[in-house]
Amino acid sequence: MSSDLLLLTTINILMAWSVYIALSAGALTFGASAFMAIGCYVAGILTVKAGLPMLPACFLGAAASGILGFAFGFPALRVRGIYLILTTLGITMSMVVILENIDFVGGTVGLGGMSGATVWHGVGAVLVVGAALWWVSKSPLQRVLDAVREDDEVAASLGLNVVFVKLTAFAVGSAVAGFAGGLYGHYITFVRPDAFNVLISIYAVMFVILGGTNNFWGAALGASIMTILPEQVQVMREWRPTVFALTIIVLLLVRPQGLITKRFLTIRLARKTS
Amino acid sequence: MSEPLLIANGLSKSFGGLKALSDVSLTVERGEILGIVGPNGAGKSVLINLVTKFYAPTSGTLQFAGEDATSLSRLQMARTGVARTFQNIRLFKRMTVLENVLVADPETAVSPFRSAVFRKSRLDRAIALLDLMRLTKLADQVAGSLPYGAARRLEIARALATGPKLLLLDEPAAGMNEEETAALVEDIGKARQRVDGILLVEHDMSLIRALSTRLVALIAGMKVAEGSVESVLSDPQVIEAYLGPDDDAPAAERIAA
Amino acid sequence: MIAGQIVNGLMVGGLYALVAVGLTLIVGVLHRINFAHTEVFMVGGFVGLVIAQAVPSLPLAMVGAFFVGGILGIVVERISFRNLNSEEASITAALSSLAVGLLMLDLVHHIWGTEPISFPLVNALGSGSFQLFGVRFVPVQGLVLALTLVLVLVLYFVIEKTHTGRNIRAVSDNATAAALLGIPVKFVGQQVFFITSALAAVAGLMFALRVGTVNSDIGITFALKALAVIAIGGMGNLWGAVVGGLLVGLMEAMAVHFGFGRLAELVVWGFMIIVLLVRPQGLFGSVFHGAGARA
Repeated sequence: MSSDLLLLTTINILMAWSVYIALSAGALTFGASAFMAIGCYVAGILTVKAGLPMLPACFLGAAASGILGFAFGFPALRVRGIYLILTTLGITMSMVVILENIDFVGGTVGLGGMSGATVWHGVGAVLVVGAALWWVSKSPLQRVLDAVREDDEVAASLGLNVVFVKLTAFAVGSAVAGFAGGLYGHYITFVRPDAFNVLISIYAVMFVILGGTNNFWGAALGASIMTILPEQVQVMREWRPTVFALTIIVLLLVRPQGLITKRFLTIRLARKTS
Repeated sequence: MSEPLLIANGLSKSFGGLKALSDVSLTVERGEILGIVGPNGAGKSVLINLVTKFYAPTSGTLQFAGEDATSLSRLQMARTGVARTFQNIRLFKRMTVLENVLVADPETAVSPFRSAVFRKSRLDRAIALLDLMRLTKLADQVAGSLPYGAARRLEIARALATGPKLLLLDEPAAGMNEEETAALVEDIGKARQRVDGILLVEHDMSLIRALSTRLVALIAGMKVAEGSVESVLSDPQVIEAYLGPDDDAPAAERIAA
Repeated sequence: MIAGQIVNGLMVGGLYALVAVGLTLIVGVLHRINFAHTEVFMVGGFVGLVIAQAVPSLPLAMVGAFFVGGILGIVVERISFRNLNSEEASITAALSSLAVGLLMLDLVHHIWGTEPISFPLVNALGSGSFQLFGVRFVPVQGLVLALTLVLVLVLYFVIEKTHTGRNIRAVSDNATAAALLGIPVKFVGQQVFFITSALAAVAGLMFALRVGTVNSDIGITFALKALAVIAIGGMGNLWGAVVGGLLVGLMEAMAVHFGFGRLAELVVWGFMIIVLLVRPQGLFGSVFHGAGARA
């Protein structure tokens, strides 16, 4: 497998995780693309115009995405379900237009001159984020997330600050997408706003749906399968959206909960007391 | 003489044109179990929903532990010490029994992100609650697959896990047989020792008689009787509401059964 | 000329309305969002292209688009919207329809490529313009406006005055009760999908006629805004979709007129977000449908 493909896979895994993190608190968003764009452009500006090295720029890009995620999330998470989907779709659609109208970042022409992302950056990011997700999944926080996701009215009546939990999850997910964006920009060296279109957000959601929404391995698996598999089979490569769409359709008919459905317990009494 | 735990004054709730609760005032004193009885549709669950802020009152005020609670949010009510169970059981079905109780621990609930970093949870406290509600053997079982009686007990255990001052029980005996109801009396008795007061909404008269220190009767959203268990249950309006407009003594005895 | 912009805005708004009406009807009746709807709109133009290349007749192209659109709607219903039961199923259905839309897009790309194709019937209505109330119209604008009006009125008539419409309203109120009354719920669902998708496809044809090209992008770049329209107008509300569509079309036209250029796009989505925050049930919506909106 080429290092290019591996890097792309790691970026897609990060995007899938960005959706997963928000979803773990019960928020299904289609905003991944917008925050990827923010991270990419902020990181790109910092390296191209301010001369920062790539990694700090990417971190700052992620931070910018996270902060804006907090800002957008605050009104957005006031609505739920389909309304949240529409709101985040609106954010994604608007982001492209906004970026096209900012001449400082190149407008419709785009932003270029970024470089330096290697496959090791991608792998490193996946390992770090993955480790964090694994850590959370074994902690009391996972229970809080699960409670908020499953029944946020009851969660609030038990004293959990549902709004804060959802908002933070949304913001963290946005930051991860932002970092992925920074990596992407510095890999592909040149981006245009319309690269961050609604299809990116849709794909990110579909990675998670395919892999399974109950644990972070599922999201990673979905992203990996849909990135790597089409490359191995010529037919699939040309018909990637079709193959992807068909997979999702069949999956939702046959096994809507995704490939990996297991919810890993955060604690087992039997093990603790034996 | 300490102040009442809960004071509801003139609570009303309308849905569109429908008046579900009209001008209901009551208090829950410290140390008591206030029973709420009334036929279906009388507004009993609406009352619990109003106190726990699942609904906002159309009018009226609430005071909890001496402080004005009328405009507190659901979260704030929970954090000042009000906990409830649900008539139609709303457990976190995908989590285990133990996890349901752990997640309600105020330490985790109030600082969820710090609890991720420090990974501490008060396991002993949770286990003690499981023991109290006879759930220890089921600790690792997924809540969605619990038998009915155990699910109800878990709701109580989870509510207790928040360390509340006031516990609101919404028809905890619904769907239980005599044996289960008798066991529930004991369970609620144990729960009583952990809280300052209980508000018990219930249809089952044996539970009401066994546990309530005082009773309030609601009919069609209005309070029609208040007082000792006997006096409320022998109130002619209450009897009529439960059994129809018949005044025979045998009917009155049926409520007493 | 502001009057010209207004006319254009109303025409574009009419197209938004035709797409939005379909979306909102499915929300109202089946409590689901059909994300494939926007791509059916796009396909309408291509159906017209195929027909027009064989027989240069606009009426025939419209009829063809209508029926192919309707059939596509039934296919989408069969694939994605069979399970009408749980609340969770609505997200599954929405995502499935999203995938079906993606499938349609890719198929179109494979058959016709990704570049816009000139639409042969673009001059079918003649190249002149006419004056009405002192405002200059181009024939296609007139056609679209007239057609939108007619189609919406026909739809209103069908829903309020016919037997089919009565069934649709019954299912919309309570599908289980309707089934108990002997109403063929599944068939009603199919009818709704047929009607709404047929209208969307015709609207797509109109769009191609106006722009002069058939373009596989327009599902995403144009019709997706119908989602914003139904949120603004109120999910499930027919008049909300019509008024919302016209309003959005006008807003965009005004934004362009006052020099916002491409930022006009933002106006639509921004307005939707504001509406969702301030009045989640939409401008015309009843609290019932919007009730699930607030977190």
